[in-house]
Amino acid sequence: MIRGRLISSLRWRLPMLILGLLAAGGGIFTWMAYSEMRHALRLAADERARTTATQLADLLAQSAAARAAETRRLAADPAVRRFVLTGDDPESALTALRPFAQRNPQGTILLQSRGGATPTRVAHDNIIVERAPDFAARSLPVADGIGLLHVTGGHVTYRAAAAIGQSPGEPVGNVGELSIEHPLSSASSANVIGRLIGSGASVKLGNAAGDVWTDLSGPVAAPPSVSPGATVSFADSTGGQRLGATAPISGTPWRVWVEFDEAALMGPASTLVHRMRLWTIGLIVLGVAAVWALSTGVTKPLEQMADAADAIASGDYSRRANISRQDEIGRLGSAFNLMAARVAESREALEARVRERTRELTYSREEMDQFFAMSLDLLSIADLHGRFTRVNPAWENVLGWSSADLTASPYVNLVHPEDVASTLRESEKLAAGGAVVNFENRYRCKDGGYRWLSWKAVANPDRELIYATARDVTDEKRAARDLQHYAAELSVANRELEAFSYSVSHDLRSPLRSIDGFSQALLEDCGDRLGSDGQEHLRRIRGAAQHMGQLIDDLLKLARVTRADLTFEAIDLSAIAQRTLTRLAETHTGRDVSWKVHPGLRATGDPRLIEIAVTNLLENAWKFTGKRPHGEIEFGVRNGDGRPREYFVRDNGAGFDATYASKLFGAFQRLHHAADFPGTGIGLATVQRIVTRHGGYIRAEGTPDQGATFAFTLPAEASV
Amino acid sequence: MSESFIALIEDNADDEALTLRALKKHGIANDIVVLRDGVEALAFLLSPDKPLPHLVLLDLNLPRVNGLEVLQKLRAEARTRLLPIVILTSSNEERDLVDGYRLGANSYVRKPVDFLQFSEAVHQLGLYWLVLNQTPHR
Repeated sequence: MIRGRLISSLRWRLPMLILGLLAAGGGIFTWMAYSEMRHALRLAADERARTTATQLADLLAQSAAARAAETRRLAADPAVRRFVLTGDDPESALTALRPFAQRNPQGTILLQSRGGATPTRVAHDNIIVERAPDFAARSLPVADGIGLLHVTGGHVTYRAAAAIGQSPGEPVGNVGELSIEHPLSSASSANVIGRLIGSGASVKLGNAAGDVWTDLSGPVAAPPSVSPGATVSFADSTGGQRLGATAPISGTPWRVWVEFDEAALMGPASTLVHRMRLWTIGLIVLGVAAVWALSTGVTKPLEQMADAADAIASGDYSRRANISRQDEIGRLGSAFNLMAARVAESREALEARVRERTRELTYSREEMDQFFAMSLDLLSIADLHGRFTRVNPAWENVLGWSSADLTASPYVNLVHPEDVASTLRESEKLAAGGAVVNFENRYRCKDGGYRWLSWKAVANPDRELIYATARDVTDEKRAARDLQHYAAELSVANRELEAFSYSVSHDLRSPLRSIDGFSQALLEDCGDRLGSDGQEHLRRIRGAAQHMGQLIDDLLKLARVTRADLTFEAIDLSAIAQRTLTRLAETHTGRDVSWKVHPGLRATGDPRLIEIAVTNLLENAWKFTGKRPHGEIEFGVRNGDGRPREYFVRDNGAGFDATYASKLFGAFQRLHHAADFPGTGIGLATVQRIVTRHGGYIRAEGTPDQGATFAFTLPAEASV
Repeated sequence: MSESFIALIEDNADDEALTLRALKKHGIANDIVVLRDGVEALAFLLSPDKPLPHLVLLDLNLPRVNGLEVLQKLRAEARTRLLPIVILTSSNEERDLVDGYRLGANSYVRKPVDFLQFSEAVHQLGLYWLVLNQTPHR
């Protein structure tokens, strides 16, 4: 049902409207017809009343005229005249009047004459003959013709009078008068009149002045006054509506009043109204019913659609409006259904998407939670008032406090006293919306110790939260401190070593020089006295001293190599090799050595150290080819065999037993006798130290008496 | 004392003896004045009433005032600024080498352990500095 007030309901409004229209129309029309008819009827009735009144008046006038004429005739009777004029013979007059009197027993005939000396009166039955000297003074008015009506003893009467004058036919007043008093009640006349005017009507007769009225049977109340020629509608004593008209009766001072039952007159109009009313009502009912049907036909589908819409709004997306019409409403219905279907579809799609999103969100949320729980860093969420609201398990792992401990009180309570001020400052910065990066402070552990935390935090002012992550850097700090400590120690040790080397290079060599020098001096000065044995001893002494000097030099070199700072530059290896070999050739002019240096060999490394390494290798090659009549030395680069790029020094010298290859690079290790090939055994150790410091390695390949190849890598090398 | 003499600033007696021996061996006839530490050397070289040597052989490892300081002081004085000074030392340290030149030594020679080499070096030195090389005379 359509809710709401009746007035606003369409289903009611239309019919109401139609009802109103029809009712109004019908009413107006009926009213107009009725009015018209009534008017017409009224006019007709009026006309009828008037006509009837006039006719009756005429009739009555005739009758009255007849009466008057009759009276005049009687008055003209000679006997009557004689009496009146002379006063003689009243009996004859009486006799003359007697027939008439007999005919009208109810009437009273009065003959009056003036004259005589004394009044005389003769009466017989209803005739009165009087003679008096002054009848003019009498109360009865002299009137010629018909007189007024008056009530006498409960009856309405009138006088018909004829004046008797001097000459017949000449009424001269004051001589005599014959008046006949007639009662105005006559059943026959009433009958006649009744028949004349029909039933339901009544007639009254009355004075023109309106004081006495009769309905021909007796005095009656005066009817409503109305001017002659007009009609008047009035209600009678019983409440019925009557229509009356009046007309003067000529020849008399009377009027006639006719009244009809108005209802009877108006009957047709009422019937018409009645009939019209019935028809109108019928039409209204029909009309309203039709409109009702129509509007219901409109509102029902609308209601349906509204219901369906309500259902859809409440969540039932399968509801449709069941409308099968073909008109505009039907179109609305199908459009509505289509829309409902679309709504259901899109809602379904939306829900599916929401489900999808929720799934994704939950998944990602779970992921985040996972990381939050797993993180080794101390993750936390805090409010702007200095309290943690959420912490991850790492806190407990690192500091020992549980989540409950940490969220129970302000976090400054756990901060090292010396760091409280800076922590508060940083918190304020965060509260103001800033971010904190690389702030460090100490937090107390549950066991009482402190750990250093390095913070990164941002604030979300809208949510009034701070998101922070902290890393336990205690170990790092300690390690850094230790590192500093060791570095300091190391640099002290280095300095000491340097000082040591410095003094060594001076102080150890001096005595050796003395030993060698004075041995030689001895040899030169006293050699002949010492003999060959003595000389030999001295030579050995000298040799030992020199050897020791060499050892010292090499050791110092090795130490320097270990100690020195590396400066990486581009190095021309070919140039170094070439230079070294040239120098060797110049210094050892007796040797026959040919060499081959690959051109354009470049590397990146510390120039001084690389020079020492290359020089060492080439000097070795030179030394160990010493026994060959023709030495061959090659310096180049090779790659292949899955090995990285290797620089190599190859010689065709004495080679070595590969079994002892592992000893080659040990300090002081020699695989050859000093007698064959002098040396300190430090050279290769030095080369290895240098190459290792450059991140590379060195290998040796050799076969006894078939030469050796020493290959090394310098990883940080520029392209050739 | 002959006009041109060599000043040898050396604290080690053995080295002193060997150097003198080598010089003599190679016939460097000049007189040699030996100054045994930095203070003595400065006192001698800077005193206006002492003659200036033709050549100074300077050891670095001296007590009290070390060789480089002596060198620096000598070079600071107008008297000895142009004096030929040869550093003769057993040090092979790069640092000493650089500092020596920086402070104004004319030459840097290393004393080898091998006496014969040492002797030869001395010979070369004498030959060059006393015979070949021209020095400004005051």
